[in-house]
Amino acid sequence: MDKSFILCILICVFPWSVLAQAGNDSLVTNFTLPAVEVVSDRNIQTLSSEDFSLVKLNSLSNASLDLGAFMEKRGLATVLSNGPTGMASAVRYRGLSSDHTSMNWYGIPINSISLGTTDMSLIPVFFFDNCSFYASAGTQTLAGSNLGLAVNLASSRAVDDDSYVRLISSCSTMRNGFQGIELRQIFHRNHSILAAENSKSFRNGVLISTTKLFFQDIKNDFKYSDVYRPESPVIRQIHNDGKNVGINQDISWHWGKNSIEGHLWVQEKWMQLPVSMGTYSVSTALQRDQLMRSSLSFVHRGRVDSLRIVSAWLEDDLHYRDRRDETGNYLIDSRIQSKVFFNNANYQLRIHKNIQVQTSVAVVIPQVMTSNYLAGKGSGNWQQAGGGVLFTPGLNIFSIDARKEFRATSTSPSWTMSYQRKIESGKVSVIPGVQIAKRFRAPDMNELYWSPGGNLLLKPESGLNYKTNIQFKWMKNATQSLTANLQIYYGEISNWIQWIPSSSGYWSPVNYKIVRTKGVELPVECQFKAGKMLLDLLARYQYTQTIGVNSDRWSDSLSFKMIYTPEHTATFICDVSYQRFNGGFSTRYTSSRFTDESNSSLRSLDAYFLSGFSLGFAWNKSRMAVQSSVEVTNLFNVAYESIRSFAMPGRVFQLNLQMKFLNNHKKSI
Amino acid sequence: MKKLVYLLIATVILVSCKKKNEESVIVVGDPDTGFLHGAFVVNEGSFLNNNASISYIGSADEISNDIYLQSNGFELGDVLQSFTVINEQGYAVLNNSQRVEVMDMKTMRYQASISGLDYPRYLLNVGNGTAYITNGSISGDVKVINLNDRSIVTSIAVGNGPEKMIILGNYVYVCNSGGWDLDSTISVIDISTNLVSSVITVGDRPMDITSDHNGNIWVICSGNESWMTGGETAPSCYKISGVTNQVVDSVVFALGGIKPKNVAISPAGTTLYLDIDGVSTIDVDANPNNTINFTSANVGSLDVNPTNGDLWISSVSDFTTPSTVKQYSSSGVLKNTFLAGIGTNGVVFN
Repeated sequence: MDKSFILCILICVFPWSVLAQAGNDSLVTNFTLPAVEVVSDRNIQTLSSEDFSLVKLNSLSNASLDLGAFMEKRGLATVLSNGPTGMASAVRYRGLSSDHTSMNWYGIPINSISLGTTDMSLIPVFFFDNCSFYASAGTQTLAGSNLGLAVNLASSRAVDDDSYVRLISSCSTMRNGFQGIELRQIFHRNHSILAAENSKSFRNGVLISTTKLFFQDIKNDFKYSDVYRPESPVIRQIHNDGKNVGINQDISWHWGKNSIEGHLWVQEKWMQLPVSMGTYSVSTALQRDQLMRSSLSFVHRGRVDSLRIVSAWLEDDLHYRDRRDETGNYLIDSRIQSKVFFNNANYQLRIHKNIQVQTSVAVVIPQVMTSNYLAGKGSGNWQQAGGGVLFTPGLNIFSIDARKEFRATSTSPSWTMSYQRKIESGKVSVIPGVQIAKRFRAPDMNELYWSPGGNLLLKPESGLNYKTNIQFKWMKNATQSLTANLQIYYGEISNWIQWIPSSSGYWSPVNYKIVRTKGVELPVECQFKAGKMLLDLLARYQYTQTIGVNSDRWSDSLSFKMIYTPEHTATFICDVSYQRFNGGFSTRYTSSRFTDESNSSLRSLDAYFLSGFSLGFAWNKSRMAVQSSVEVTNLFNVAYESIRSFAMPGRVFQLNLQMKFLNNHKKSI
Repeated sequence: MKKLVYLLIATVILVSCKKKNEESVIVVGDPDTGFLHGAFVVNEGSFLNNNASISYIGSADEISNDIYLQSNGFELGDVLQSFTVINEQGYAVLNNSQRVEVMDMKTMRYQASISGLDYPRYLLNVGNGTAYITNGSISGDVKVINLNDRSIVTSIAVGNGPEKMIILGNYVYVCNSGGWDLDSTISVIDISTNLVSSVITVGDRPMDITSDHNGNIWVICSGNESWMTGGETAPSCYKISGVTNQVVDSVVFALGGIKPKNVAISPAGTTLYLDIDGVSTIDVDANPNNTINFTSANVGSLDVNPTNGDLWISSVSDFTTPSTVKQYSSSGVLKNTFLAGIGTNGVVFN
């Protein structure tokens, strides 16, 4: 840990601590609630509402996680990881590829335009409060097109909170450390934040600023049994150090029903990449990823209409180096720099008490600069326009939307049709529904321009998804509830893009596969309160069968199960809190996974259970709240592989500490 | 409630125990000689996946895949570049595992590893308990191996990206393919001194080499790719005198086609097979420009059985699905088709 960084934190913290001491003596509420998963109520105000969302991410006792690790822990998707903390990880949802998952930030698509995917290890949970998941819809809500999952990251407006400073720190037996600081400031002229927000005068609005800064020092010091060497010797992981540092700034000015919001996300991760198991030498590979994402938006949230206009500038710099020659120069030095200028406007209007219409347009100007492309760069501006209608007669909800993307590789319009019916009786509500959606994924820049092999003749992948679900909710009060959402789905993707060896000796992407996916998903969550004990249980089961053929025509006899797709996954999480103590136990089952398309059982990865345990203590006094916790991951020291040949750590202990200093003074401007 | 929690924890502990791989060991091959004699399909596997494998085809013309994994219970390694049989030992050169695994050919059981290699490619028996291994992705060398104690005796600096070798008399000819860089030379090593005695310039990227019944050496050069420094160059085939080490003839093929990487010779040493336009043949005693098409099949690797002259051609669709290996008679009749492992890059006969 750098002394300078500790000094920096102290300098930041000290004035805020003094400020906090000067405030009122009100009791700070416990801020360490576990992350809450919310199965959507299908808010009729939104045309394509999320299937479920995670809120209060930023309040996690272990906020050092990246989003991939967090999603895997909750059993939301299969997350393939090249190793422990800091190593690249990708989401595979319902058996589809990672580039079929669309990651969005305040509705702005952030998948790498060169790779087509998002490295989940580059998304710190610490930066975000809310995470919304769209299993197959999202055409109008999000600009990014998705064949599988769509995820939207955002931070809460949370104007009911107050200015505070929050410090988080964690360290683990892998010698990994995470330090974070959050500064939240609220400025307004009025007596209350609510009054300021409701003021129709621009000048009497409220300014909310949240700054988050983190530093992660990664050592990944662990041992593993190398099952790819004769006699499976125990090896200590080496050449796997890394640093990850980032800053996130959210600033917004709210007045009346309007707001102007600015967001900035700057991050740099530097990692040594270890060799795969079975290799005798020491790796020399390094990966340095830098990103800068900024956006400015105007938002109007009226009673009968809403408008959001956003403009964003996104930059990625992905730099991979490997193998030094005698002079110390790297033989492989691959750098891909991407820039995207994104503009989007979305307008919703309720034209009748039962009818809501929505329209959106977007203009995207991307550019990739890399020596890996034949011309040294790749580009391809595209525009999109779409609209939709939400019709809600009585307890019925009909929605239909469509969007057309105008690209060099033209696509037909993507569209969604859905129907739901709300059935409510006392404390119980049941919502059955059906949905059909057509989606596309345009080839990414690497697939088009990579030299050698890039293929400008690629067609977009297209997918047709069918889903039926039934939501059940019983709610006695805020602390006694039971929710479940049974989903059955089927989808077919054609023109699946696959890189294959060409006759010229290099790899080239072609429209190669048809993939069919079907499955069942059942999350059940319940909360109970017995005396002073609060029990929160989550159980999730997913059955996935994803089958493909390497052909443009389907053939049952040639079909195979897609690699790295577990047929069964199950997650059970139990969180208990009793007065100042809280604890949790989680276990996740992942069935065996094939690693080749011959579906060889000899090379399938074994099924495994991963379990974890945590115990925490929260302490509140005046304007300060402290929570400490001990967390054990891989409790039973199970040897497992996420991606074949890459070592994963066994049992790891982690100590987490959070401190929050609240300032109750209203700051005037 | 307590009982339920205890039951749950107990269940989790029980099922968390890792299930051992209980795949049964298959027994194939001759009862006396085991896997010693037959055709060995070299499947390099997919990069970083540790799924390299050896398939075995015995006298019954049936393929047994993964014979090493099934005999040992652990994987061979990552990227099996080549496989060589010397006496009763098999030597599997694992490029990305950076080692050579030595196995007993009767049982396919692991015996030892040769390490100290950073980019091993091919192994050649040069006699007297010594083998050469080409090594290096750019600046290359040939490692001299003592086969008795599996140690590296010395290194001989050669050109960039050394690949296949042949032995002719007291000399070893090494194709310097360029590897990740460029090269267009053949290094000639005197076995008695372990020194490079001469360097022969041929076409760009010499990849494979063989010799004919006249003692001449034939080299197939794939030519540079379009993305390499200097742009694309044409593939070619060179004929070198084994006496003078001088180029005596050459053929330059068309640009923009398949980059040939394989050359093989018939048992009599009279017919040369090249992976040009599928597979083409050249009569070594005639004008080399007169190529005759043998088959238009997609070629990943090309090998001739020195016993009966059958031609074995593999094709790789991608690196997650099984490769196809086809066995042709010397007259071009398809005799067998086998489904081998992932990424077949050659067939070895013993």
